[in-house]
Amino acid sequence: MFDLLMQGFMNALNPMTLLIMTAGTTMGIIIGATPGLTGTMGVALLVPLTFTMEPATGLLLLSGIYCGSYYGGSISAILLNCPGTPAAACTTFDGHPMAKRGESGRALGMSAIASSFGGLVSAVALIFIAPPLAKFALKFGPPEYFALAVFGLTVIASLSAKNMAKGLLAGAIGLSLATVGMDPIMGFPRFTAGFNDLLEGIQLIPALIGLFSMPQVFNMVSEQIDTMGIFKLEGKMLPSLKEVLGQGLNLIRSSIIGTVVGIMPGAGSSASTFIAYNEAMRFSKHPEKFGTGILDGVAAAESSNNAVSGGSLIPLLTLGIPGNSVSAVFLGGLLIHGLRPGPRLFVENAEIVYTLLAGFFIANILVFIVGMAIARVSSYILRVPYAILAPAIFVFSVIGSFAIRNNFVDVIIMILFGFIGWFLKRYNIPVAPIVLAIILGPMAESSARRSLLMSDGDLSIFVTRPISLVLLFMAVFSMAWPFIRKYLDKKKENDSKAKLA
Amino acid sequence: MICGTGMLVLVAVFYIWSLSAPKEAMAWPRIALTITFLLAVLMMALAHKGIGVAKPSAFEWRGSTFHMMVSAVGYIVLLNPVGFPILTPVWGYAVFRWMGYKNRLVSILVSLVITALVFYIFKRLLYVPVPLGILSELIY
Repeated sequence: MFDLLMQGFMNALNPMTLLIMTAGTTMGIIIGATPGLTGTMGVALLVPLTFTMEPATGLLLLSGIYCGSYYGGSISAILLNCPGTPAAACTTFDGHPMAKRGESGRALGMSAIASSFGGLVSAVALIFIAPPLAKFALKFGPPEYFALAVFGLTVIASLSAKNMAKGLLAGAIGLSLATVGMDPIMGFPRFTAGFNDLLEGIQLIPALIGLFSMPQVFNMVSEQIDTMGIFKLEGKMLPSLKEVLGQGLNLIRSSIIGTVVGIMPGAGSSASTFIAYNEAMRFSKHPEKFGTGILDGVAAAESSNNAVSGGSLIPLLTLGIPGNSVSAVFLGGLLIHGLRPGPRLFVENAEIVYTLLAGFFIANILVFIVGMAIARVSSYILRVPYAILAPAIFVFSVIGSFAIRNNFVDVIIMILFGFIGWFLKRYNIPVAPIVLAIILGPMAESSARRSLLMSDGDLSIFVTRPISLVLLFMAVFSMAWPFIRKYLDKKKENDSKAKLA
Repeated sequence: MICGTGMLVLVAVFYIWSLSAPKEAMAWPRIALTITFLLAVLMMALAHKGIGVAKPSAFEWRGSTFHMMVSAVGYIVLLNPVGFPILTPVWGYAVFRWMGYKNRLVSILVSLVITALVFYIFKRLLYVPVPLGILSELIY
């Protein structure tokens, strides 16, 4: 492993790769900083650009965008009080009050340090946890893969904690859409309406571009952010060494929280920032100052949200289960390079995987360097009008979708999914479960049918193998968890009311 | 309620479609469609009781979002016959103006720059056969 990792670092430190990673990080920061644009959209939109690149280089470009977008979200959160990404919502609590006091430079500096630190902690976790987990997953057969897919699909319940029925419905729509194309065992065409282009099923990347970019384009038309309220970069750019060291424990704790939350499929970076912020407040000697503009709040929120990035890649690379929407899009990036995530990836494409792991580590260092450099011009980035952004994103989405197979059908798929995404968004139905189901549906179907062929149609094969049984238990628990949590919260509330009475 | 009804109709269409294919190949899609059907019914029941009723975001059917959607479809329809290098700057300029961007010169310049940039990246760097339409005889 050590040799492969060293080789990975050598590959990632190649000047050309480093340049591409820097470009990716810069693009990620700009995308993250622009309110309305998300890292998910950025990665989806730029996947087509990686076609002609070496797989590792292309994936490192996407890693740069992925890591950069998390930090970018803090720029608009601090300067505009409008989180560029949902994960940066917590950063507004202390970042914006600091900007109001004329300390936006310090806030952005702390944000860059914390983002980089959180990302590095998660990269270390990725390097040390992913390979042994992949080794373990090599024992998986079709029943285990089916159980794993079911477990992944139950994550939908937690992805849509606010309205489980809608989330599950979105998941079911995704499962249904995933059945378009040839049936995996008999090769019979399903729901293709005679179109040969649909035999391979719905192409993932155009669907992702449509689902994540088009609703933004359509919404941008009706929304205009008031750019008059942007605070300029003021004050010194970096907090003092004493201030940074003073945040040591806070940074470590928040990064660990982010990494752990990232590993858990479905939990998401927004949840991690709120947990980390809450914990930082709980452990602080001055909790009353949180929300008034202190470095502790910025450090906790930013380190935990960047730490999610590495954590979420662990289940993706080792088991093929994307933990959140960005990693689902990242999976699309892996697939177009012919890399199928899962335990075999670490055996068959070890050099690419270790280059990705090493590159991910370096990308997080770049977040700090590029982040500090870009912070100076960040207030200009925020002033780009939506009237220019929306058509530009649209044109890029159309040509990007076309570029995947040089096929116009993919453009039509992209726009159809764009309309579906916009419609669902309008009715507050989450889009992420659709993506998860499109990815995991075929895996669940083919492994279920292979398992049943192995057992001559005996369903007990899923519960008589220990790993499969444990995974199915986890799936049941994952489904039940939102209800258990609701019950526990209610009980806690009743207890506290009784105490007060 | 509208969303749920639409979903039910779609599921019914696909379910009937699935009946014309071998049972083995369609078993999984039917399971997925049945789950979708049940959840759509559940959502309608919840909506009927007023639980989790969607509050659609601000949107006017005659407003700019609708124009953008129509223009997006128009762009895709015209892309092949007209070609990317001609259609994109014209379409881009029109959209900038619609969306209330006042400066004509900047609108023209930005639409030209976006076209040139996307064309250069995809056609020249990535060798994607970007639709050239009526210019296909002139540009290689």
